[in-house]
Amino acid sequence: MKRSRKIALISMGVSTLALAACEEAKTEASIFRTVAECVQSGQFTAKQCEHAQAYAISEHDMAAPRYKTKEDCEAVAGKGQCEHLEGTRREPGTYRPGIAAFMFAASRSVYPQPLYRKAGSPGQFTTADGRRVPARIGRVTIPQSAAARPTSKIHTATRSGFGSTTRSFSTTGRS
Amino acid sequence: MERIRVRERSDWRRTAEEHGFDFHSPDGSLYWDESAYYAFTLEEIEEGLESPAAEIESMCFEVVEAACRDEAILKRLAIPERFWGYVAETWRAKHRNLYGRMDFAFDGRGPAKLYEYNADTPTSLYETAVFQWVWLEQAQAQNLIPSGSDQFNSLHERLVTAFGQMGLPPTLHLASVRSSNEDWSTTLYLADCAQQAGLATVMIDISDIGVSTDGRFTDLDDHAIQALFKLYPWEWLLREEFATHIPGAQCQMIEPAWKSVLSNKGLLALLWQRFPGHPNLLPAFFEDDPAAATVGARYVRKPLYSREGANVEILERGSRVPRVSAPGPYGEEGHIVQAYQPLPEFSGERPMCGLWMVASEPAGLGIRADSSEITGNNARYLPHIIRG
Repeated sequence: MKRSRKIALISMGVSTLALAACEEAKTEASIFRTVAECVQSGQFTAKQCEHAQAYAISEHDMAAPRYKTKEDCEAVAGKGQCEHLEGTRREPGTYRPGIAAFMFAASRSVYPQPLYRKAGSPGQFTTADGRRVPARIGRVTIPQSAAARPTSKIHTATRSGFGSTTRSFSTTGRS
Repeated sequence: MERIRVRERSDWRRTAEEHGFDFHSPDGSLYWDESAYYAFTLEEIEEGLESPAAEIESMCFEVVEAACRDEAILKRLAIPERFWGYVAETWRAKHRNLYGRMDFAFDGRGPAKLYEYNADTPTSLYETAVFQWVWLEQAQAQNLIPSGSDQFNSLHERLVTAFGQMGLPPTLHLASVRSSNEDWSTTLYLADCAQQAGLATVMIDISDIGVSTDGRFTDLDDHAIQALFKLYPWEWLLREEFATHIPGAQCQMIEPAWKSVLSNKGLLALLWQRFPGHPNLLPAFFEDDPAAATVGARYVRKPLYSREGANVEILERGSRVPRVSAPGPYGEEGHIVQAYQPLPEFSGERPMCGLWMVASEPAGLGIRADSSEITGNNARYLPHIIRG
């Protein structure tokens, strides 16, 4: 056969379900330090665990809190918990806390994301946005507000630097 | 290869809209046309189109390799000088490519002749991968076409597989021009494929992309764009305000920048230079090359950058007035001339065979037919079958 065996479209032509109004202040999530720990829990497949960890690492790059000095960072995350980030031509180097664990849920109600230690609070992790969750491995109950995708910590300086050609040609780029 | 008239499915417009194909009849004119289809033998597909496309792809890689070692070639292609290093770097670092479409003149008998390679922003993807496939299934079920018919069309499966193998971060951003229904729908389809490969996707209008204080691209939520699919040509991106940020933005681009060597009509001259006499190539030269005079009495003049047939002219040597021409805004970067090889004619229409590549492998066929010798944006899309 020279053609696709089946074609299923996830999102096209299907109206997206409106999100239910948020009545519950709490939701279920799972927290693990490593993929091995995640698999061992028996709750998830290796693929789910790897996928969640990969998301968390990606969010770590985009959303981890940044500090100018190591001291500033350690004051929030604890001694020895921070990593250095090389600077670029435009920006000096910074510090950010290292990932202590990653959090997600099977239901996708929790955005897979990194968790950080909190200085002086061994019983709590924080999300990239500073929301607190229990520092326990396995299934936990967390505030709904901690389940969202962390907001990015990068600042957009300017927009609309692409797209001028299509505006001037009043045509699009297909060929 | 044969053109066969066939009854339309009575409900195809509704089926199209249910499948997200809402540009089937733009501005009231006919684009999707299932009043006929083209029938091929397996041999015509495999020997006539698929093998040549695979071979030309490897020839194209030789051209890119040469261009990345020789700045004179990048200059010839009118790629802005400040991006020569970046273009070459994306090739050396083996940035993966997703797709492209080679357009052939083919009548089922003689060797297919490459008209051009839309290697960067090919369109008619969705109608090829999905709606043509749905037509085959339904037309067989309704006994409109012979049962046991097949189609050269594994595009959808291959796109999903390719997205999974490109080494992308978990979130892929997809940008195109939102005000263009066709572009935006096509981009939505690719987002769907990416999701099926396990990626999270974010759609963004090309003009909404931002740049952060540390030089990364951002979306409307101020999240960094780590990987960007763009249905927007490289030759435009490289001439716009944010172009300077591209090399340092830590953003994996799809298509990668080395594709700008292939999506350029200069490729046709470079291919002919390296592989003169190849049965699937037409003689082609840069216009200012003295050898351009050998292209023949009747020839085609194409701008290095041109889309959907715009600014393409068919000329007679010695005459300044084109026999056939298509208007458009392109041409200031230079032209190539290519030997005249008319498209075959079937019942008054001239089909162009678009051979799709996914991750550099032949993946499917889409046919667009125009009444003009220059396939333009008024061409209709017709489905095809492989006889069982």
